[in-house]
Amino acid sequence: MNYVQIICNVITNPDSTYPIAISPYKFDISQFGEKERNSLDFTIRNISDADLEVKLVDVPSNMFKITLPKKIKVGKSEKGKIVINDSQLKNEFDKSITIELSDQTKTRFTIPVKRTIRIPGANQTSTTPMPGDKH
Amino acid sequence: MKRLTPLALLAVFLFALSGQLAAQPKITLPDVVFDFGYVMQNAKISHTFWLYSTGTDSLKIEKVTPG
Repeated sequence: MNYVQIICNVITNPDSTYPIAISPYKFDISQFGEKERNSLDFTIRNISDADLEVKLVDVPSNMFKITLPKKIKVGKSEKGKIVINDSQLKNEFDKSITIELSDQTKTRFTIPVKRTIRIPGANQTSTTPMPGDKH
Repeated sequence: MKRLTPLALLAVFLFALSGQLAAQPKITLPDVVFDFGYVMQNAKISHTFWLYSTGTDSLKIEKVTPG
């Protein structure tokens, strides 16, 4: 028998995370309308009493380009950015990324990444008669 | 007849060995544990576990059981 095991700590209040606070706590890169939306800026605040390094430990392959701050000093905030790869721009998805901190317990956070696409009129079919159509 | 005995033994040995070497599927999982760390309640999250077919026959996954 082969098995895989997943571990997570569920949190109910995004404002009570430690040693960092991620804003927004979930990445919604949805697109409503014609204007293409392919990225999201986020902020990570170090609310601990030690400098922290941040590294990406899990990301779906070929979906995103993620820019993370390498180091966040005590009490400071740093910006990051997630950009959807061109090949995924027409897709809707619910994925996630996992980051790991350099604190003693190597704390990890998994952030959901969601994309919904709603373009008014995009699914409407043409009513123009085509040659060969029967009426 | 005595000369055939070692050959017969060899044949039996090879026959047994061929059974051992018969094509067999095998699965290899390099990573079997993943720690998501802190996750917001009701969040949809995902992780990919890679399964490698490392045997000598095709690998069929017939059942996956959660829990």
